[in-house]
Amino acid sequence: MIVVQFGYLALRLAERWPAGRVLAGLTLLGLSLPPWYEEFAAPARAWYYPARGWMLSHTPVWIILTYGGCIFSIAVLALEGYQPRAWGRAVVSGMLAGAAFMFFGVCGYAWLGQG
Amino acid sequence: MQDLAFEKLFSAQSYAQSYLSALRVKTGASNPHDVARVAIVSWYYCIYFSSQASRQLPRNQCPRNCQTFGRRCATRSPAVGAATRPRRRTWAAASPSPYYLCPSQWSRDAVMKWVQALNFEDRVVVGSMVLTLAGVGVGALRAEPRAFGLTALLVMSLLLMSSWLTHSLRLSWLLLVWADRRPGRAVGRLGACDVPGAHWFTPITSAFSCWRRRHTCRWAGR
Repeated sequence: MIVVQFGYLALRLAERWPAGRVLAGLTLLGLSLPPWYEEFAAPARAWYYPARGWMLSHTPVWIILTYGGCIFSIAVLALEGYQPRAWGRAVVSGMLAGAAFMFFGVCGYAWLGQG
Repeated sequence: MQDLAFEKLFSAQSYAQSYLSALRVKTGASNPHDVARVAIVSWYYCIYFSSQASRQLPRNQCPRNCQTFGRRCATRSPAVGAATRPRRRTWAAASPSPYYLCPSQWSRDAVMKWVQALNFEDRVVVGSMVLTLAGVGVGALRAEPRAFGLTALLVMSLLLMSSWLTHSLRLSWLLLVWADRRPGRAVGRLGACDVPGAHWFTPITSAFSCWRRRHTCRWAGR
């Protein structure tokens, strides 16, 4: 869902702001908003992260940074890839977004997750 | 009476009448907020010129500017301290906003203007973000993991329906970008367990999901 939500925000904000400001603003929003999903998961007894490495309450810092990277890649792909009715570009962008998620996840974990 | 003072008396009187007339016209405006600042300025100058004209007659003096006049009003008037000095240098006087006298009104109007600037798609997306946070917040408060899945399904339905209703190319394009294993995963989260095979809709995003899942733990009994 965050692909649709943040991708849409990127496209909409790009109508008013320069691309750099859109990317910076959305990355900051990505660092602050989606990690609440992980934060609330532990009190909701859905899942939790074992305390290893740097943690911010229930959420590891590498997860927060990964979300920042994910939102950054979503915004870049939306701004660069979006063309009306270009459905093939949407499929390719989806695969690239998945690869970017993986890349940021692995980098974040390698950097901060091992404790 | 000196010529200058005489001239000042009549000019002040005519200015006062002019501003009074402007004030009467502004009472008929459809949206009073649009003319609030102009009306306040008119009201101020109406009072200012009326008082100035009334002070010309007994003293036969003509204050050269607003500051001199204000100083005299503040020191010699019977109502000392009751009136604000003319052209007082404060942040409010310097503010170009017509709403500076009432910040709450300003913020309410700013929010209303912002909300009115949003189109239907914007409202759907902002609403879906609020719904997401509210849903997971309620799940955390009630210690109910199924709230996560229910929220995801609600948000997905909202986005799909609004895309279908509005024929929005942007939303459709982004939904296609997103269309991976999420629907199956959201259904799985209703029972706080993943549907077998739901990860394989797109291998790459599933890889990330598996990677992240390796580092999470499930609560006992789930």
